[in-house]
Amino acid sequence: MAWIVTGVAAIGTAVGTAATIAAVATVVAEVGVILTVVGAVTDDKDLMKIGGMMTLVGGGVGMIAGAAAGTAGVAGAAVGEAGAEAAIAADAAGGSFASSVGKGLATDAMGATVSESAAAATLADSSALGGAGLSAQTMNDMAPGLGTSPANSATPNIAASGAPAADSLTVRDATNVATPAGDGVATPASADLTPKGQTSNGLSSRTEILNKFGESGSSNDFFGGFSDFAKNNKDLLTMGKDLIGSGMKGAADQANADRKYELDKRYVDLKSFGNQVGFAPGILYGGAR
Amino acid sequence: MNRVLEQAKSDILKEVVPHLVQLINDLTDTGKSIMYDETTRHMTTKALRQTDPAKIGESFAGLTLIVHGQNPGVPMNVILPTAMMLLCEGLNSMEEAGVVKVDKPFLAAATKSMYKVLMEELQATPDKLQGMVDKEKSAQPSPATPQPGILAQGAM
Repeated sequence: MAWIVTGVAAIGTAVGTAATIAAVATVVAEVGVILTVVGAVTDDKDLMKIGGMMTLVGGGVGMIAGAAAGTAGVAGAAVGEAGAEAAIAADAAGGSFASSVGKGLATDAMGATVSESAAAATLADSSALGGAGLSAQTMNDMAPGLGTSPANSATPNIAASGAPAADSLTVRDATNVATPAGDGVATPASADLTPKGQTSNGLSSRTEILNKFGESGSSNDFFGGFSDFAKNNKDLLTMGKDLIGSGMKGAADQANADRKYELDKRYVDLKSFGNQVGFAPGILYGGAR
Repeated sequence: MNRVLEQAKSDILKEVVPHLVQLINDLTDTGKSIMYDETTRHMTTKALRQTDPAKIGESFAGLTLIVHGQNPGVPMNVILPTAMMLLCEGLNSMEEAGVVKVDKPFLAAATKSMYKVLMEELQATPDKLQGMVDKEKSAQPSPATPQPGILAQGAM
């Protein structure tokens, strides 16, 4: 529980930027995919269903956001495909078949999501710099927020921690950082890498946060809320499912067309096999003589 | 490592675009360094002494939020899988210490609890989502209605 309090304080201002409809849709869809995978690993059909439902919800909401904001909808729809398939598979069949189908499509959907959000990936790459070289810095920044001030550590005091500790991250050596190759995107400004230090204000509401967690219901109730959301927004999900259905039908048609072509080709090859043997009527005439 | 945990980790990483895997591993290392650092070890000990999967999930949600707070630019499709990696690492440590026996239902319960807390803190709750969708729907223009008057003018 202690980590929750400090974690909530740490997230602080970052949440403010995440609370857009597209970002929320991304969170819902991503968690849906993860729950689907974990459900498959743990043979938990309920978890798979929840995951499938959430991916659908995330996908549907992503489409709405996409109507105003471009490619987010495409990403959302792609993620929704995994949800639809996982939900269908979990309902229609049990066990391993459901897992394999759900997981297989989840892979595609996740790939689509990440590839659609190239800008986000760039940020992620750049933040890897922070992640890689962060361990020491993390502790220095974190200690005030944790309320632990060991006398022998180089921990800044609380007053100082209110200001972001930009230098330590921006001047660090980036040569030992694994940067994904081939993305060809310029590194964002270092301002994006600046960690947000924990402030004393962030910790002032400890009691409030603890109370909130004390009042929160079970996780089943929480995730059940997404089912209610889906029921209340059937138009949204229908729209998503139609799109997903069209995509899946197109893929199936393509697969059928390829298979038919192969079969036809094989049939023609077999049928005309005799014609590939050289035909020499002269010999026959010769034999007839 | 526990076979279930190992499979969960590898299956989650399979869902991630390859070039983000390294970033997730880096963030997981960051989270582990927080877990095992001297200044936070007492918190780790306290968190890892619990046996209720829901409480354990909540603790690791908090740890993930700390990691996210230190790396606010990292997108959710990296942070959220990282949370699962950290949970698996932590559960493995707990099992090796003999605190808990991690089986499939245990992992499922801890996972559910962790992502519930994470989603609440990231404001991705059904209520918030409903409000956003309603707002977005009301902001979208209604379908264009035909305007025969304009056609008539053009025809003149």
